[in-house]
Formats: sequence, structure tokens, C-alpha cells
Amino acid sequence: MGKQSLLISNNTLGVFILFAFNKIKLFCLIIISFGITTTVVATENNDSTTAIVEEVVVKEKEGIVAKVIVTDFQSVLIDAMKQGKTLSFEDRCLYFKDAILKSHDVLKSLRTIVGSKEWRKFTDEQKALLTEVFTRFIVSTYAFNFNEFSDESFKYVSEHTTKKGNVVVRSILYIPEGKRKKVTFDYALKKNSDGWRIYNIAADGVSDLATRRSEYRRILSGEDGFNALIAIINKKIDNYAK
Amino acid sequence: MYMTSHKKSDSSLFAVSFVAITLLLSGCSSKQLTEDGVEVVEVDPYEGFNRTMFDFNDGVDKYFAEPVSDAYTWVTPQFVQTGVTNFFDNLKGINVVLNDFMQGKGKQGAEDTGRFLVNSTVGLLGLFDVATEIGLEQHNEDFAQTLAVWGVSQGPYLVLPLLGPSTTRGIPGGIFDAAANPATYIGVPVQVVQMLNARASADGEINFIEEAALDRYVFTRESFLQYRDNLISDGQIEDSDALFDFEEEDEDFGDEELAQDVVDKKTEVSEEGITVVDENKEILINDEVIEQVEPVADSSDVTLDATE
Repeated sequence: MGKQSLLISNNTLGVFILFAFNKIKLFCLIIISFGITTTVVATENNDSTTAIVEEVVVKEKEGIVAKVIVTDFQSVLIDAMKQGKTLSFEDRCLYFKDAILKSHDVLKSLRTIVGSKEWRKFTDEQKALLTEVFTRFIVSTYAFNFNEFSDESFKYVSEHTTKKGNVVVRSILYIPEGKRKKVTFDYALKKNSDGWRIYNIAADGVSDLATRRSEYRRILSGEDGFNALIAIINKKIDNYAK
Repeated sequence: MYMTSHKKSDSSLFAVSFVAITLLLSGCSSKQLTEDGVEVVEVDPYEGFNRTMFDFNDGVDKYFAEPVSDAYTWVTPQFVQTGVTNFFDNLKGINVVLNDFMQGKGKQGAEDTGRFLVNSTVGLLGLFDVATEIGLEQHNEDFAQTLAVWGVSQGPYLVLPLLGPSTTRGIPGGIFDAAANPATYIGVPVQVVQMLNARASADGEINFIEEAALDRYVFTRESFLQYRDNLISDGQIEDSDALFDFEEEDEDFGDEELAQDVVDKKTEVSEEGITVVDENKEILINDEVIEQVEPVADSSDVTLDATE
């Protein structure tokens, strides 16, 4: 089955040929061994396998894409770590910015963090400014933390479709020299018009969006919340850049 | 010590302060004030008290625990630190086994018993973690988790002096854990070493919070509570919709179609400000490494800037 599913994802036509061929072989086998079979049975079988094949094709296509978004992003992380100090902080920022924008739905995440009530109160300029600053913050966080390599590796564990049709890709980060030897990462992906995009990340069960939500809302509910939030984030970015 | 969450120190001395604090808190439970005009978070009704304790712990950490732990890290070779960590982890193993069985995890209990026996003998009193090498992985169980499995509710979030984040369920949990840990009975010097080592081990996490958190108190509270929940469920992802479900998930943000607009305007904003875009172009052109490294860009419609 492993070989077949590989073929399915790569070449639909090839699969049908393969199945047809298998069918013929099976058909002959049945005739030879039992000598009793009818064309009716054969065509029925053929129809149902076709349906199954189509279903498998659709399922695998969706699954693989969500998984690939995550594994590609992780290989960018490992790659950046391997390049380590040969890249400056600014270089790593550029590198990560591109990788993050391609794999994350930053805007969707930010809106959830802020919450619809607050978000609707923002002017377009405020939305734009916050999105820009927030993205820069995420990028800087990666650039700051993923700067040296000591044999870390990501291992894909599983993929799981939630009741609402979202996907969670689970993987484990192994840190051979760390105090904490492994961290489980759950990537929560939602589909938007561009395809599957990372919406939330949980490290050992700590959900990034949930944590940020509490923080951002606390700051936004204070005096001159919006400007305070921008100022705090900018300060954090400056600290990373130092 | 502060923010060592799962690496709580187990001194019986602190068990007494647990009780004292519970009494103290039950006294002020009628106060449901909104602090600084901010809504009271349901899980954190004692935020005022907790923030005071948080600042206190922070001070202790900054002026005492961190310098001492840094000195410890500096004078102690890495292999010794690892040995010390292994030693105390192994002593906790008895408690892990007890809680395995109390939670009905028979197989895991048997494994952890094997783990404790192997490390206590072949591992020279736990200095070496031989068990992990032979496939007996370390599990994280404690009495607060057992209480959760038994259906005891979490209760409000608490920041305890010197011990850091907890919940009301964590108080009997901590007392039981301390009682079931031989380190509690060995003597004060051993406990001091244990606390030092715990602080040193948590150094990376503490620094991460320092750097990443916009509000360290809130960040610590949220990550602590979620981390504990994850331990209780042993990291199962059956309720993975929780990663997506936030109150307003289905609510209208009023600008679903505006998304592109926002993205477009971003460019204007950054151009009006400092000319960040140009800086980036320069780096891109001058630095060949980056050009090679950069994956094929197909998201160039968003021109957010990473440098300023």
C-alpha cells in the first residue's frame, strides 16, 4: 500500500493503470482458480476501487500540503541555525521574514490575539502599523533565538484533522545538549485562499496565541493601550537587535 | 524557586508557608476588585497579591538567586551539574511511581519503578541516567496532577513566595511531593544545592521569558497554567480544536476583505516612516549569501520589514 499511495500522489493516471493491471491479474486468477466469475462482479469491483482511489488522492493531497508547510518551515529554522554566526541578525531577519510570510497567516493570528472587539476599533492605519510591528517582532524573535546549531533536529510525529477541518501537525524538537532534551511542537494550520497556513503553535502544550492574547489584551485595555502596545513591542525588537 | 514551575523545591519549611498562604488568601477571597480599571481574570482573582509576590520573587531572583546560581554554573563543570540534576530527578522518581499508580497508570508505574531501580544501582545513586539510555524515559508526574485526574478542580492561580507559580490545587500537591521526596529529609545543605541547581537549569527559560514577554506576569501565568494542563493530559492532542478555538473565532472582524488593503497600506506606512525598504534592498544586493539562502519568494506582496 505504501508504494501505491506514493504513486497516487504523484501520478493519478499511473495509479489507474496500476489498478487496472492488478484488476486484470486478479480477474485471471479468479477465473483460473475457481472458474466461476461474471463480468458483472468485475465491473462492480472496478467502480468501487475507482471511488476509493479518488478519495485517497484528495485526502493525501490536502494532508501532504499542510505537513509540508510545517516541515519546510522547520528546515528553514535548522538551516538558519547551521549557518549560525555567519549570518548577522539582520540577515537572519530577512531570511525568516520570507519563510514566515510564506508559511504563517500572521494577520489572522494577530486578529485573534487582539480580539474582534478591539480590532474593529482600530483605524486602518493602526491595523497596518500593528501588523507591521507584530510581524517584525515575530521575525526578530526567530532571528534572535535560532542563531546557533548544536545538533538539534525536528522529527515529524503525526498529522491530525480536527472536527472543524483544521489540521494539527505534531513534531518533536530534539535538543541533544539542552537541559530539556525534547520539546513537542503542535502546529495548528488553517486553510486560507493561499492554502494551508500556520495559525498557532504550541510548545509542550503552551499555545502561543493564547499566551499572547492575554498579554496583548491586558496592554490594550490600559491607558492609551494601542500606543503602549506598539512601544512595548518596539522595545522588545530593539533588545533582540542589540 | 522563581519560575522553575515543575522544578519546585521540596523543602518542608515551605510546606508550612503553603498552609499559611491558603489561610491568608481565603481571608481576602471576598475582594473581587478590578485593579487599575482592568478586568479581573477569572483564573486569577488574587492578581494584586500575586503580582506583589511575583515582584518579590523577581527581586529575590535578581539580587540573590541569579547571582548565586550564575556563580554555581561558573564554578561547576557541566558534567557535575548534569550529575546533580540526575541525582535529584532520581529522588523524585519515588514520587513519580506513587503518582503513576494513584492515577491508574500501571504500565508506566512499572516502567518508572524499573527506572528508579536501574538509576539507583547501575546509575550510582542516580548520578547517571542509565535508564534513559536503555529506553526507560523519564515521566513527569506529581500529586497535583493526580488530584486533577481524580477530579479536583484547579482553583485560582497563586504565586507563592520563593516557590513561584502554583494554583490552590498545587498546594496540597506540593506538600505531598515534598513528603514523598527523600531530599526533604536529608538536610538543609542538600536542599540548598537542589534549589541552586533547579535555578541554574531554568536559566534558559527565565531568559526566554525576559526577552519574549510583553508582560512577564501575564506571560508566566498563561504559560504555567497551560504547561500544567498539558502535563495532566500527558500531551494528548484529542482536544486539538483548543488550538483554534478562541471566543471570537467565528465573530466578524469587520475586515475579512480588507486584509489586502491592510497589507497594501503597510507599505505606505513604512515608506512614510524611516526608509526601511531601501535598507533591505541594499542588504539583498550586497550580500550574496542571503540571496542564495532566501527561498524562492512568492509572498513578495507583503513588504513588512525585519530591520530598522
